[in-house]
Amino acid sequence: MALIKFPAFGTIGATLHTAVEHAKPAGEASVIPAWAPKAEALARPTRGLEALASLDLGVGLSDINEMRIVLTDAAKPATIERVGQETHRLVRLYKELTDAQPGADTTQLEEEMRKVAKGLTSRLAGQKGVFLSKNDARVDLVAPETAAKQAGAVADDAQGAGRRSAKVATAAAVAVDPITGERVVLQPMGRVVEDLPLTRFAELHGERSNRGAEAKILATDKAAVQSMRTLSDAELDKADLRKPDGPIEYVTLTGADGTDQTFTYPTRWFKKPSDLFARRMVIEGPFRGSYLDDVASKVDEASLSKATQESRLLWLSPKKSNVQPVISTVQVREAGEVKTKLRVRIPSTPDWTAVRQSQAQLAKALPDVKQIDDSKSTMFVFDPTNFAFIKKVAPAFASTKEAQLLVDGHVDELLKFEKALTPEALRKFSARAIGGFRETTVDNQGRIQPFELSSIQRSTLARLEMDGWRGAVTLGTGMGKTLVGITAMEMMAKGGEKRPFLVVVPDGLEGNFPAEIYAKRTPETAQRLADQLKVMTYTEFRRAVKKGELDGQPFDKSTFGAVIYDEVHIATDRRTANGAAILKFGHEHTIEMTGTPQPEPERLQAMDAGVRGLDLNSPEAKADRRKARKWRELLFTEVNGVTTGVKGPFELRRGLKIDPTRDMLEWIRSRFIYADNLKDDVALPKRTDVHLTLPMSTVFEDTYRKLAVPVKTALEGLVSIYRDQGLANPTEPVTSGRPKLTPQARDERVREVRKSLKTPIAELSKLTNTEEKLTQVGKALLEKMHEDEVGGLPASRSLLFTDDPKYVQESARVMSLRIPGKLHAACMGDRIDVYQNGEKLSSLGPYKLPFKEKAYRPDPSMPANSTTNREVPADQWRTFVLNNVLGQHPEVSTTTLFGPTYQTGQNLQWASTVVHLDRDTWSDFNMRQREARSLRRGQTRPVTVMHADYTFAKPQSTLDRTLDQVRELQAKNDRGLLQQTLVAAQDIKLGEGLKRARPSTAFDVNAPLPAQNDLGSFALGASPTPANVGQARAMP
Amino acid sequence: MSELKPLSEWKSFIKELEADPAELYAAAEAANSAQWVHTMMERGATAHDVQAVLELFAQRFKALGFVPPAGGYVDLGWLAEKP
Repeated sequence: MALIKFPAFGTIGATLHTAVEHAKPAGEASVIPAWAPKAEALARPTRGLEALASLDLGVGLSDINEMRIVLTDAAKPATIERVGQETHRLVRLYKELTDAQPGADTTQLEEEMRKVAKGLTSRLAGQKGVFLSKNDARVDLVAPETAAKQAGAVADDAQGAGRRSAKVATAAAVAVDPITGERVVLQPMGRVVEDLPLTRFAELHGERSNRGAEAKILATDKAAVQSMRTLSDAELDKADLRKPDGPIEYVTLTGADGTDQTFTYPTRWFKKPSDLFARRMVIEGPFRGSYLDDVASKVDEASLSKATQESRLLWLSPKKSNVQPVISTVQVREAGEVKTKLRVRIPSTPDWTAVRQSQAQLAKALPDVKQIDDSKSTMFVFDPTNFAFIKKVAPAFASTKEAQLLVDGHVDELLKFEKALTPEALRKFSARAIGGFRETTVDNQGRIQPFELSSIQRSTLARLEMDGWRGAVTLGTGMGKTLVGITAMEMMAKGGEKRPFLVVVPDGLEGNFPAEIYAKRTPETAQRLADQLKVMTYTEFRRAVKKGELDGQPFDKSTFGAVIYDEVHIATDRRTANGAAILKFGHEHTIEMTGTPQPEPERLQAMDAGVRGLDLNSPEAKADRRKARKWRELLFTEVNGVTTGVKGPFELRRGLKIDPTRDMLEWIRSRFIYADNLKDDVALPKRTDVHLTLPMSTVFEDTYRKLAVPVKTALEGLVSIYRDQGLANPTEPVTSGRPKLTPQARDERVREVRKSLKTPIAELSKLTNTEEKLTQVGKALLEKMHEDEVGGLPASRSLLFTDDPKYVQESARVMSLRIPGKLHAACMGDRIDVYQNGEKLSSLGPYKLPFKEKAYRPDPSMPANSTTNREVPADQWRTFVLNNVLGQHPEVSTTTLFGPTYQTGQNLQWASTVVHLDRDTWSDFNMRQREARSLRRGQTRPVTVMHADYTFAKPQSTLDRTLDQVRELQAKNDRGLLQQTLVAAQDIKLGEGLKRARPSTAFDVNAPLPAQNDLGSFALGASPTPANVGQARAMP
Repeated sequence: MSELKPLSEWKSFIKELEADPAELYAAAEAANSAQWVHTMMERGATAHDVQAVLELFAQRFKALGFVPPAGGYVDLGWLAEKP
């Protein structure tokens, strides 16, 4: 926006001073050229820098007809609504007054008008972005001395007109530059978005609109009625609408001023086979055979057409007819649910061809923008979320009040999320406010501290509560998801929920929730909450969902108050049995929790569907699946079934780019609660990575290569894809056109081979799971213990992970040989063995070995009790053994864990070294999960992470990598996608984008010139440069 | 302890140290360390060899009624109680 020196207003008077004070930052006034002059335009009623002196009815009731309301973008919907109501009331009273019989006593009426006018003027004086202007006053923007003279003249005029005082401080300042002829508007409270006669403003924004009257007129227009008609009488009589598809619904066009103007229509939902959703069809009356929203839209268009004639929009583009895009609301029935959406109707005239074509392109690209069949690209239905895109294609438009309110409502909904996270809002989620927590806790330095929920935990609870106790929660490992879960249940219970809470966990983690309850809650509250808990494994859950019963009893979601899915990342694929079971169960209070981010778009969609009770696998969700796929194709780059990144902007037509990325990030931000460890209140201890590279021996390498031959091509392709995004020349910047892809990236066989890789990869993995590797790791760990010793620290204890069950046992055995005297555990899914010096032990203290699934208690020699010797149920045996036996036994030096069973859900901070014996997983996040068993809140020592990878001793090229090395590349891809989705979404302020783009009937002076010109609209840029002034003048 | 000795020599060695408990403690502390275990393993000792030596120390302390030195590679008290 340009700032130009504004002439001194010293002589204008108090009222004008006030207006200028609002307008000038740091001694200057901002002046925005809003339109260029045309002789015919200036012949219309001109508006000047008018401070409405008074609405003193004693001197000018007729002023109502001359007044205008000017809205700026600072005006809030509530203010507009209120001013609309007051102006509507004022106009109605005025009409009553003028209609009164001569000689009738109108004192009371006049008094009431005075009151209303007073209220209105004081509201307008409140600097809320709504201003009152006058038709017949003007001040020319001229040199200072002339300005003073002009202004003085106006002031004199005002006095001469009998205004006794200047009471209203705020006025829209509109002026004409007599030299250039440009009309300018001061911008004391933002950009002007609407400028209408008061009477028209009242009609448009008043409490009650006049649609009934418009409809009455429309009904008599045979051509208009015929143009709207979709079904003929004969078609209407056909079976479709006779079939009982819900009852006939009577719908009244709202806002009739009197009963004689009310139109009520019988309607039924109707969907043509080719349509995407059902709409209300009028089945009787003058509009029989027309969609109700078409009728409503036509009425609105007629109404807005008048508004256009009276607003400056028409002046701006004298060449144009008074048609323009109109945005209104429409009710549709989609997937059995009635929804209110927005509809844009673009004029069918040739001037608007480019806009129609662009909107059609937009509808093809965006899942939520749908073109109405047979509309010849003139009508599109869309969600408020897509409003900014529609506006980008058609920056100048008119919209109905309902449409405006729908977008505003959506913005408010989004802003709600941000408001819920303010420090004030989070107070109710403190430990004290919730109550029932233990008073103290031990921090990661071993100090006793008052117990408190972390800021991330509080904000997570706030989000869950705001969304009706549902949500998808991804918190960094060790940030206290379980505590969030039990606190959510506690709050629901306090809110009156008496039904059991269902907690679904992976096998082996059944004990986590009960253990956390007893650890964090006071004994009495812990017992109550634990009693309300029903813990199931995913295996049990999916079986129960499938059969519809559990232990002979019906298994129905209504019997549970809420359901929490822990470590839900194992169930985010809707095609798996676990994923399908979650979607099918569809509980209204679903909380999904994981520490493993799921940035893959299809998984994000499945998680969201699970939270919202949408069974994406059901036949009814066909449209949702199609929409989801379209969304993924629009936003993400996918190579060979693997999502490699976010696409970014795309071109609708030359020079008009649309970037849906922000839309995607807003969706993620609003639907997913995400925080990584960097956001936590407590910093994690230092992490050190150690790479144990094991060069292959010649014989070993020959064997490996021989085994790898069938997949060599595929591996090269995958490396190319993962590392270089499939680009043939990854180091060269892509300047234009499509980048050249490697043959491997294009080769369909790569996809095929990838499918068949499973077996060879398993064999290659097995081949590299050698005793040599374990021996090297054992030596490294013993050296690490020695280093600790030298440093005066207790010897560090280690967790070793592998996804090969046989290698678990082998690892524990070899470790016991390399680290003698100490104990070495082998943790399998169904048993835990302990080795010493190469031999399996038969007992460990009071416990017989191996540990197996059965109830345990801390002291087996003593009877169980509920406090000091609480018996842990059989399904929690693994957690008990790890925490209460192995963790407590300082001689347990290494614990080798089977990855799929133990890489999530266990808190093993008693170990400070983590070893990846293999990378037998394609997910980097699973690797992080393994590490997070130790590197998490409560860890008091620096953590060492060891990677034991085989490498070729004699690599033949840069792409000649072992499987371990390829997997590392995949890990990098995973992290990149995470950054572009869940992490990037955290910087988004919800609602900000739409807030800026909310609808108005106005002309957007800030819109870029090319876009405006494309539309045939008439624009001046925001800055009053000679170039754009001249450009504007050149417009016909 | 510059080279691997048979267990019998270790027994004699520890027996000799009984005369001077301070020497016994010092030797036990030296042997019961990751450094010593690491060295032994590097020189070809097996886990059982190492374990046997550490057990000798542990058993000796138990027999003498002494409290073994705290800390170290392994808890000698625990080792002495091992069946």
